Amino acid sequence: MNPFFFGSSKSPLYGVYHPPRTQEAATRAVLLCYPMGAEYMRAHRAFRQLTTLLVKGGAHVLRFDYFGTGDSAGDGRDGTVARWLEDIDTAIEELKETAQQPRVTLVGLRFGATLAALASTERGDVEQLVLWDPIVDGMQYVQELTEVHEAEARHRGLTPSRELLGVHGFPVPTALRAEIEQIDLLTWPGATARTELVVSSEREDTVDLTARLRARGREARHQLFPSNGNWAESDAFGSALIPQGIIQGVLGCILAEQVANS
Amino acid sequence: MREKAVKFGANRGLVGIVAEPAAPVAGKPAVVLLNSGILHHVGASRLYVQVARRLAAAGHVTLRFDFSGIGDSEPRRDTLGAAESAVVETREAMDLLQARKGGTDRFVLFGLCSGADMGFKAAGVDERVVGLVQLDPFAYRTRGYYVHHYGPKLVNVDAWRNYVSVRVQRWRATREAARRAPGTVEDEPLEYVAPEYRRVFPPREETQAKLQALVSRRVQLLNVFSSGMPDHYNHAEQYRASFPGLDFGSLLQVEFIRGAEHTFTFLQDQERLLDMVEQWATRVFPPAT
Repeated sequence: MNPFFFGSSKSPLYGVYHPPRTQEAATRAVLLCYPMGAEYMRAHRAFRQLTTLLVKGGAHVLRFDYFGTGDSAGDGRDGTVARWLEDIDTAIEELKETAQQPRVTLVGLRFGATLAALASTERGDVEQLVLWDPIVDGMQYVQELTEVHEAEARHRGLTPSRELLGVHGFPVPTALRAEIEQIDLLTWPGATARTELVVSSEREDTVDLTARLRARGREARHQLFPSNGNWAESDAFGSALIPQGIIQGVLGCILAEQVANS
Repeated sequence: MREKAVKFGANRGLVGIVAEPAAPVAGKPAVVLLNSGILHHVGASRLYVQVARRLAAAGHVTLRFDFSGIGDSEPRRDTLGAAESAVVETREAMDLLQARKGGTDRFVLFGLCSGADMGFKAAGVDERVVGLVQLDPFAYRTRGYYVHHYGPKLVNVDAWRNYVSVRVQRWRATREAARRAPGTVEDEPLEYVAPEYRRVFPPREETQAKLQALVSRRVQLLNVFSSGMPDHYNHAEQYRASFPGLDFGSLLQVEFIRGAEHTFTFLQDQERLLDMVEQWATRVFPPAT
């Protein structure tokens, strides 16, 4: 395991690279894309767990923090979708160079899945895209964030803000919300990568997204792994969610493909 | 301010981020931030990152790191319990900073909840600790606690009407919090097991004796309380009153951010907390002349 900073020296990104733990030549390089806000904290252990399983299965893994999140440079108020997409591009290049692999698999959870999808659109070096409980409708997501902010503000006896939302302790400024609202994965053209939609509960939007991707000639598969998927919940003492069922499902998608390619 | 990822500890299994001031300032102790429960070194609401960067900008070298088995750090290979290993690893963190070029032998430990508990334990056994910042530390009820708790309600008819149901709800919440504090893992992992730490306040006399030892060593103390422990703490003066036989002199500063959640969720509360910590550090650790 190698924790390090990479990217621009003025605003470096924090990442942790995990080399494969098998003797056989590893051929998979997997980039993990975290969700945003409090969901990032709640998912950290699940990503660590997934990482452990992936490296045992023979994959290179890089997990990293976007600008203004986690240990990466920047204030939480300055994060933007455009910047985070650039960060994923930077992380892909870093992983390819470190792992000495020409192509990568992207795994994203919740809004991280949405970002991974958008980042992969124009890239020819993403061989597989795993969208784990993705946010499909940005407008609806912002509505949910706004409702949480309003409920928290009322609970604290404060007037809800229309500019800077605080959501479970994380800032969601106006500009970021405007960008998120513009996202509708149902209109996303899709990626050349094989796309795996992995969900923890029955959802119409991801089924619809899969059908649309196929209609556009994309290779897409939808799989349900019934698991705890309440990523948006928060706890006054901090909590982690490690849903084994879907973690194994994500792992299976990636390692099965590795076997198929070997 | 410049940040660097580090691996350290007996098996180099501990992972942390050192933040260094743009220009070193003589006389400033280094600051080590200690995990709160299972939250990794970024801290609840990214609080530890903000504190580390704010203090680094004020001239302190800071290190936020993960205890073994938490966040980015590897699990330990021995059988040491979480409370004991945390003290060992906190001292290893101080060793790391001390051994660096221009390293100091004076440290401030910073922690929320269980992080405060670990800082308190480590401060008691390591004389390099010259300052301790505890967010929601061990607290003990006093007469003042009950006055603040019941006083406003005695003259309120609605409060009496709701008394029974509120008590029941609070009992349930407290029971639930005690079971889960200081953090929960939903769906127990197969491969990566979290270290267990159950927060139990030691007897008041034991805490007082340890505080007395810190005061004798002239350790600077900053305690910041939220409203997140309503069954234990509810007003600023309560802490000093909890230890009537102890003369803190000017070594103790206690703050109470009324209404704040245990993890300082609200952005306004975070700003207040950051300001308090920076101002305290600036006051008690001025640059060496």
